[in-house]
Amino acid sequence: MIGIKRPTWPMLGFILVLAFLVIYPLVMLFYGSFAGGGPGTTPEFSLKGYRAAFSDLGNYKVLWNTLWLSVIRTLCVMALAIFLAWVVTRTNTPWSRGLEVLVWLVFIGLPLLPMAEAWIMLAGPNGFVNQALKTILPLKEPLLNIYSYSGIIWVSSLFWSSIAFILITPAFRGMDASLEESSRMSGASTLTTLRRITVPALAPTLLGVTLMVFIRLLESFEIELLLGMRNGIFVYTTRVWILIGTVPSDYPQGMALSTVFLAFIFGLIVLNWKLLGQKQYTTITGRGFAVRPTNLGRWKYVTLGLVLLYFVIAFALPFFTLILGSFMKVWGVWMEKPFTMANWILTIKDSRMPLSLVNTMLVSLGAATIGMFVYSIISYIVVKTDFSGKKALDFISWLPYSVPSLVLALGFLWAYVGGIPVLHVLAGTIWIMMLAFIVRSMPLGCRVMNGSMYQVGKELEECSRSSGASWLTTFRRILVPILSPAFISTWIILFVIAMRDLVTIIFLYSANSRVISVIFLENWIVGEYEKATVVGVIMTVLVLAGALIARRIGAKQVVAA
Amino acid sequence: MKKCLYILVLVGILVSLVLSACAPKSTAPAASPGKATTTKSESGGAAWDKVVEAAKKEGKLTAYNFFYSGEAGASFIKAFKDKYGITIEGVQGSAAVNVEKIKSERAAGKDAADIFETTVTGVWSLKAAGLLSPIGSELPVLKEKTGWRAEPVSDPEGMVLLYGIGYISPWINTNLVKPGDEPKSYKDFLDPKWKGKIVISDPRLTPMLARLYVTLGRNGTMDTSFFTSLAKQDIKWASSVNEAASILARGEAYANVPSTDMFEGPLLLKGAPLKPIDVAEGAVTIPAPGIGVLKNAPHPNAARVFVNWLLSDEGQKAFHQPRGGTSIRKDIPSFLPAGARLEPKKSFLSTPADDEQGSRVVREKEIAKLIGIEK
Repeated sequence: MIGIKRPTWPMLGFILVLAFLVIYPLVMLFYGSFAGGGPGTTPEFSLKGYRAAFSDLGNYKVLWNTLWLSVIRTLCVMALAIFLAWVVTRTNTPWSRGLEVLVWLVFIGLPLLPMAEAWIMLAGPNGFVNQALKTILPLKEPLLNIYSYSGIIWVSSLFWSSIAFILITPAFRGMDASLEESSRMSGASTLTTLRRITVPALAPTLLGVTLMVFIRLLESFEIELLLGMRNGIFVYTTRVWILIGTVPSDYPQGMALSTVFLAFIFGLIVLNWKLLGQKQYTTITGRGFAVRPTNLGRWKYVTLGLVLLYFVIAFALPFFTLILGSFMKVWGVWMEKPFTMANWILTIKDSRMPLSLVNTMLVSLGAATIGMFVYSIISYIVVKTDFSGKKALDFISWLPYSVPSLVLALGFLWAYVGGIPVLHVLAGTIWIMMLAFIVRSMPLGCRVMNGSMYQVGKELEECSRSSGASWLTTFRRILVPILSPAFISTWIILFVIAMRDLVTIIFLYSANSRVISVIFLENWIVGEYEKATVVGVIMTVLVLAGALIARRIGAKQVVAA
Repeated sequence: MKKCLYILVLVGILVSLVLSACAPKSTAPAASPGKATTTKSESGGAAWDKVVEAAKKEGKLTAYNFFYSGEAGASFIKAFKDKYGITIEGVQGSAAVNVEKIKSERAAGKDAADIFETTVTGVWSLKAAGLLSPIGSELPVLKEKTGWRAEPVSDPEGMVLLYGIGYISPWINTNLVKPGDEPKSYKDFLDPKWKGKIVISDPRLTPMLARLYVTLGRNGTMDTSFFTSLAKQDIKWASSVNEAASILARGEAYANVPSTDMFEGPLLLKGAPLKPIDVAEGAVTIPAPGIGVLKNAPHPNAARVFVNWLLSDEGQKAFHQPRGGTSIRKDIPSFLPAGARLEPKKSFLSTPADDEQGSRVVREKEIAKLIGIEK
C-alpha cells in the first residue's frame, strides 16, 4: 500500500464521528434488549427478553427457515448475476451496453413492496398468469402459487440478482482477458473457461458479494411479509415484526432476537475477512491489459434473448402490472368497470405531495452526494492505507448490515430522537433521514467503492507519492479520476435507496419531513392500495429519471472504464 | 471526470436550494374560519368559547393517526378546516409505530403530537404510559342528550374516547359464495368445503380474532373448540385487517373470519363484491376507533376542539360517510347500502375489560396456539 501508517488528525476525527454515528444506534438496541424498551420507558434490566427468545421453540424454526431460504436464494441470485455479468462484460453479445442499463433498471426500478404487490397480481391465485394458464390448460386449481417458498425465492432472486450484478460487474470488466484467451487456445470450451478460469479468477470478489447478498437476504422483510405470511411461512424479520409491530410491543424479545442475529452476522463478517484477507486481486495496473470479449458465435443471440427475457420478467412485466393496478377502482378486483382515473387525480391533488416531493429530492440528492464522498474516504483508508485502525473502520462500515432495516430504524429513533439531548435537534427533520440513509447504505456503498479501489495497483499511487504529492492530492488526482465509474455507481445506488426505502425511516419522519416513500407507506397502512400503487409508479419514474441523468453525466467515464 | 463529479455535486446542491426555496411553508395559515357556523355541539358556554378562540389562534394540530389519510381522510380534514380554519397535519402509522414515536419524542421533550388516533388498544397503551390528558368532562358534545350506540368515553378519567362502532362478523365474497351457500353460524366454516378458503388476520398482529375468543366466549356462544377445529381448515393468513379485506375482495379467499365494516366498508363502497353475515353466535359490537389528546400537546385547544367536532353530528358524518362506517351517534344512520349493512339479531358489546383480556399475551400464547399459527 502507500505507506500511511499513522492517521492524520482529520482522518482520526472522521473515523471517530463515523464510529459514533454507526455504533450509537446499535448500542441503544443492545440496551433495549436488556432494559425492556427505549427512551421514555422505565428501564427494568433483566434477561427476560433473551430467556423468552431462547425458550420459544417457534423461534428456532423461524431461524432455520431464514437460514435455508437465504442459502437457496443466494445461490440462485449469484448464478443469475454471474451469468448476466459474464454476458455483458466478457462476451460479444450484441448491445451489451444497453443490456447493462436494463439490468440496472431492474435494481433501480421497483421498490420491493410494490414489486411483491405486482407479483401477487401476476401469479396470485387470481393473477393474470394463472388465469391465462386456466384458459389454455384443463386446470381446476391455479398452477402457480406466489404465496410459497418458491414464490419468495423467485421474486427475491429476480430483484437481488440485479444488485449482485452491479457489485460484480466492475471486477468482471476489469479482468485481464489474456487468461481466458489462453484457456480457449488450450482447447477449453467457452463454458469450461467460464467455470475454470473466469469464476476462479474473480473468486475473492464473488465470495465477498455472495456473503453480502446472503446477509441481506437473511434480513429481507417486505417480500416475506407479503408472500410468506399467507401460508404461515415466517422468517426472522417477520417474527421480529410480530414482536414489535403491534401494541403492546414485546421489545425485550424482539431486541434479544435481533442481538442474537447481530452476533451471527458478525461471525459472517469475520469469516469474510478470513476468506478475503489473504487474496490479492489487483487487475488494473500500470501496464495495459486486454479486454477482448469471448466470441460466442451464434449463441450470442441466445444470450441476448436471455438477458432481455430477464429484463422483461424482472422489470417490465411487474412495472406494467403496477401501472395497470394504479388505474383500478379496487386493487386486484375485476368488477364490471374496473378502471378509473380517480386514483391518479386524487394522488396528484393530495396536499401531502408537494412538500414530500421537495423533501424527497433534498434527502435523496443530499444523501447520495454526501454518502458518495464519505464512502470513498472510508474505502480509501481501508484499501489504500496501512494504519492499524483500518480494520476497525472496515468493521464499522459493515455494522449497519448486521440488523434489518426495521430494527435499525428503531435504533435511530431511540438514539437520535430519545437519546442524547444535544442530538434532539435532528428529531423529525430531513437531516435525520439523510443520516439514516447514509448509515444504512454504508455497507453496500463501501463495497462498490472497495471493489474498484482494490483493482487499482499500488504503483500508480506510489508514483504520485514519490513525486511529492500528499495523500489527499493522490486521492484527488489519481484515484478519483480512475474510480469515476464507482463514484457514479455509488451515487446512483444511494439515490435509489434514499428515494424508495420504506422501512429505514418508518419511525423518523414528521408531518413536515415526509418523503414520497412515506406517502406510499401511509396509503398502504390505511389499505388504500390503489393510491399506494400510484405513488409506487411515481417513485419508479422519479428514480429512473434521477439515475439516468446521473448515468448520462458519468457516461463518458463509464465507457472509458 | 473531476469536472463531471463537480457538476454532479453542483447540480445536487443547486436543485436542493431551488427546491427548498420553492417548498411550501409548513406553518399553518392564520386561523380564519370561513363558513363557521355554530352547531349544538359547540354551545358549551363561555369557558368553551375561550377554548375555541384559543384553538383558532393555535391554527393547527398534529394528529398521529391511522385513519386520516387517503380520499376519505382528505375530505374529513377539509371539512374541519372549513369550519374552524384549523389545519390538521397527519402522521399516519400503525399503532405500534406511532406509540413508539410519541414515547421517544416525550423522552426528548420534543412533543409533536396533539392527537393520537388508532385502535382502542393503541390508545389505551398511551394512557397506560401516562401520556394522555383527561378531556372527557370538558367537551360540550358529551353533554348533549344524543343517544349513543356505545358510551363514547371508555375510562373513568375521560382519556380514551371512542367515535365509531364496528360490528365484528364474518364477511364473504359474493362472487364466490352463492346465497344458498352462505354460512349461518361460525360452525359452518368447519365444513371441509371451506378448507383453504378462509382468510384471517394474524391474531398476534391484530386483535380481531381475540374479540370472538373473549367476547363471544364470555357470553357463552363460542368456545375454544371452534378455534382448534378451525386450525385444520388450511387458513390463509394476512398481516393486517386491511390486507385481509383486500384478499377477500380480490377473491383469493371466500370468507374473512371475522372482519368489520370499518375495513370492508371502503372497498364495498367502491364496488367490491363483499357482504357481512349475521351468524347465530351473534356479532361483537366494538366501539372504535379510539382517540386521545396528549398531555403535552403543543396545540391543546385545537386538539380539544377537534375531538369535540369529531363527536358532533357534523364530524361523525364527515368521518364515516366516505368510509361506509357506523357512527357512535344514534342520530347518524349507517352509510352502507341496504343489504350490505349488518343489522345483527344478536350482538355483544366488547368492553375495556375484554380488551384487557384479549391482550397480547392471550393473543400470542392462547389464540395463536389454538388456531395453529404459533406452534
